[in-house]
Amino acid sequence: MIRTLFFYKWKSIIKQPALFFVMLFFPIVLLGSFAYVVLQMVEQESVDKIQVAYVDYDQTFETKTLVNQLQNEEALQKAIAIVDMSEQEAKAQLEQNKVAAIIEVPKGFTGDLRTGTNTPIKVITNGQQPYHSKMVEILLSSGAAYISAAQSGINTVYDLYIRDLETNRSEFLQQLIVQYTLFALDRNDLFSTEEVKAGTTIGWVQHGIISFILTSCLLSAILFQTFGNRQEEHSLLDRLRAMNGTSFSIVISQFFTYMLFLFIQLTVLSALLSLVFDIEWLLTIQTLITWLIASILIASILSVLDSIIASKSSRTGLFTLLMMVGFFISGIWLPLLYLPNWIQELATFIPFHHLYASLKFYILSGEVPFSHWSIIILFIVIGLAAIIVRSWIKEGKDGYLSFSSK
Amino acid sequence: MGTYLFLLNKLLFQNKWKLAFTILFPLFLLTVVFPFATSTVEESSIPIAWVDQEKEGFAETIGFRINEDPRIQLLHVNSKEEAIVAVRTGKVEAAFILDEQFNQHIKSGDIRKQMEWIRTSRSFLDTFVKEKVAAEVMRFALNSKAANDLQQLKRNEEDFNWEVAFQHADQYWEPEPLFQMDFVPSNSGDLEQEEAIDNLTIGLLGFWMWYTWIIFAGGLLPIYQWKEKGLLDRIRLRSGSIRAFISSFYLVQTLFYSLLFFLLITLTLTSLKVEMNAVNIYIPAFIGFISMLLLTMIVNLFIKKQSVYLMLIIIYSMLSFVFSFLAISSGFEKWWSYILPHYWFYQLML
Repeated sequence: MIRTLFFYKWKSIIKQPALFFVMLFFPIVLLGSFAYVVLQMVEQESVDKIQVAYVDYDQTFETKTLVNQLQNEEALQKAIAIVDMSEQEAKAQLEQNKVAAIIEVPKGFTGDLRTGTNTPIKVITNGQQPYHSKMVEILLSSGAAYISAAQSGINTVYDLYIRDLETNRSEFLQQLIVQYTLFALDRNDLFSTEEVKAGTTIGWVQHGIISFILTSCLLSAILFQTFGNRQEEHSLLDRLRAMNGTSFSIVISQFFTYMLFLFIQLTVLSALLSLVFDIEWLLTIQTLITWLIASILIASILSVLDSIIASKSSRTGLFTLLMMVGFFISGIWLPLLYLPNWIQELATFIPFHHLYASLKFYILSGEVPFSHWSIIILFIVIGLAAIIVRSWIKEGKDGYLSFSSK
Repeated sequence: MGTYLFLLNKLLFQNKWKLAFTILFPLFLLTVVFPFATSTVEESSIPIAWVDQEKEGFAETIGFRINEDPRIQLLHVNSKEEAIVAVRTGKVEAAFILDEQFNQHIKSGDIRKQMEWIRTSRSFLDTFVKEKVAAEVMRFALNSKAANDLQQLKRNEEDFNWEVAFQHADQYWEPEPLFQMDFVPSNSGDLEQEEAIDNLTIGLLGFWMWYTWIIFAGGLLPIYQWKEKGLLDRIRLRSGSIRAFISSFYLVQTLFYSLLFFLLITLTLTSLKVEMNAVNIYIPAFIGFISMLLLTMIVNLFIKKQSVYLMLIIIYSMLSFVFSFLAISSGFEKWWSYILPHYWFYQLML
């Protein structure tokens, strides 16, 4: 009986292919265009390198090393580009607002430095890029501080020791200058860098994909429950009863209909996305099993609501509300990291969280997420048990009434 | 007309659930979007998490001096875990975690890996703060190095005082450090920068317009049910014309959804801290919004089938939102952009 009803339902769905495709693809198009806009919104925010002009009037080995030393680090190279250029070029670039600052090394800078005179380096900052020129200021004043630190140290040793020496004074001093300057410029040794993932451990793209797929599935489910689930007429239900088509078989056949539809939706979307993004996990057997479990889970929630709430609109309303709250506190939309602690603890008791966690576990480790699957299956079993109990009670009642009650 | 207005207004508030959802959903969305909307890059100072367990000596002074810089904002946290969460959620650009024996190590001249620098691939400006941190550490490190070297060189002299040597080196920093750069602000170019509205604000405002459009279109659906039930015919029979009824219905709906739209715009602007006057945003928004409502009413009046009406509005509004945004953000402009209400709104706003 369940099989007959199942085929009957699918036949009526296939008879209206336009509606079927709208239910399948409308959420994808809707969310896809929003996702595209959001992507544009975020992408535009990425910051370009800060451009700085470097005008070297001195042209010595030391002044060239100075620039290299200043930007001699990976993170800094990503943030700033110091470009060697002539005075005219630099002025023109500043006027066109293309550089945040001009660094001018005066003539005789190296010679002065050797004799102990500090000739300041001139830095012209661009008022039109106030924020970037401030960053250049931080960088260059830090650079100046390294030199100051080395000189202070050298002066101290000179004042308190070298000055009183009788021989080898200048040799000792030269040695000291090299040693202290290198020490100061080796400031990157101070840090051990650790890069952590912003927002989600699986990265924003993968998070976005999971969130996109599951949200489209949610929308499709809402559409399918509203438009795809035709309320059978009373007379038809009575005839079904006569052929031993109980409320149990009606609910269960509807459950399988939901399940198949959602599974098709998830798989199609997965396949579509794997065409756009070069991501391996989208079409693996583990992911497909996760989609199957997801479709069973959502189908069971739909069926539980179908069997306990008679009114179609409040049924869909409640489903929407439940799913939205569920998705939200499961970290499907916003990673759990951003949510308060009590929600993070609550999430363990929400099946959708395990859906997300199983994908995350699989993406990160490449292993089969059995533990998460089994927790979701536990929820499904509870849902199906609720359907059976409900149908059992209903059948008991209908036995007395001898017609199908609401 | 007064009676109609009164009754139709009541109808609006009849379904409490729908009403609550209509208003609460955007608020919920705002709270979801908000953490992403506040990009640290846009702020005037760079937020940095700082973990210093010793809270004394060099470490404390370094923290204090870095915090003095108006462009850097230090956030003292107690543990590495807390710092990592702050970095990952974008609350700070990066975190610096000082070694547990930082003071002692710097004093002894060991500077290797004395700080853990935690950042993300999106961190950008923290690298400048790192330079600042390194500069402050180097001041102490080289003072100490000089004192240590002197201690080594003068190991035979009994009256050597490490502290005196250290202070001797440090006095070279007062009142000004030995080596300085000469920062000259350029006067070229006008400093009066127009505050540009970023894509995020544009996108959000456009989305609210789309959202109110869709629910407004949904709000006009009862017309079809009334037609079907013969309600409109009865009103026509009784009072000769349904014009008063229909126009009061549209009026009530327009007022309610305009109010909602302006509430959303104001909330978004205040939470994103975009300072805008009426001419810049509210008037363009009003023009775009009203033209959109008029279009919807016309479609509602002339399309006889409910599903066709809904589909038409959904597709049209989606096109309007997506293509207008593309036109503004990436220059995808076509002649037909002008039939999209969002495009008008954006054009007038920017």
